[in-house]
Amino acid sequence: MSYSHSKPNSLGDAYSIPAESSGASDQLLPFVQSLDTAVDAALRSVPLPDGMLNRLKRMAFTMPDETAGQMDYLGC
Amino acid sequence: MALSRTDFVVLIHEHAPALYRIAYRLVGDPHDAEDVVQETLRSAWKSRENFTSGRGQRAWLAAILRRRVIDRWRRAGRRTVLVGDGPLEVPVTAADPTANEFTDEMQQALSQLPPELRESLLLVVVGELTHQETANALGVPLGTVLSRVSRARQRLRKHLLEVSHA
Repeated sequence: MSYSHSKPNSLGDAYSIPAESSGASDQLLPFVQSLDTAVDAALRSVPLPDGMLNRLKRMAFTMPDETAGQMDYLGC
Repeated sequence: MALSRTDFVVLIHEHAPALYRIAYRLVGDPHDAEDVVQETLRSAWKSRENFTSGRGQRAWLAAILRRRVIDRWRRAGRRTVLVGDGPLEVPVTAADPTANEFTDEMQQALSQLPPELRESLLLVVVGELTHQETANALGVPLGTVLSRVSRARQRLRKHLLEVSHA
């Protein structure tokens, strides 16, 4: 069985990853993951305007029944 | 099968908050963001006969929302061109703290990202679409989305570290 990472490195030894670097990146992984979690949480932390959902639901009951036959899947 | 009005109200309840957050992150203004969500839902309602239930509702709505945001940018861009203010640029600005109650550092960081990285990241993280759904919505290969999200995260991590050390 052959795995891609076990194939010979055509770029030579200059591009092989030293053991200590690999260890360092292993140690960095939790840090990077925690940063990503923080970024994701910050991106999602947008407060909703007061009453927006109710306004949208009311709008849904006032929209005409007919569909636009020539519209595509994305409403264009 | 087309959505009934009751189904549509349920859909609003389930997806409108995420749609609003994506819209806010794209346009940078709470009033414009709510307008975009309203336009998105009107378009979705009108084109509901084209919706197939096998496809994700969130992905469908997010793709419509993206179209509506692009329409806005184009309208704004036309005005910019007419007054000779230079090339088109996607106007993602931080919310004006004097005009709005909400602003944050992340909006500023997003404005530094190229548009294609920004929208890919937002659809995945804020819209919670799968990478494949995002690829379908953007009309690009899956690998492109994976690469864009990775690069966007990398840049935002860097920004976050710079801010924390400032």
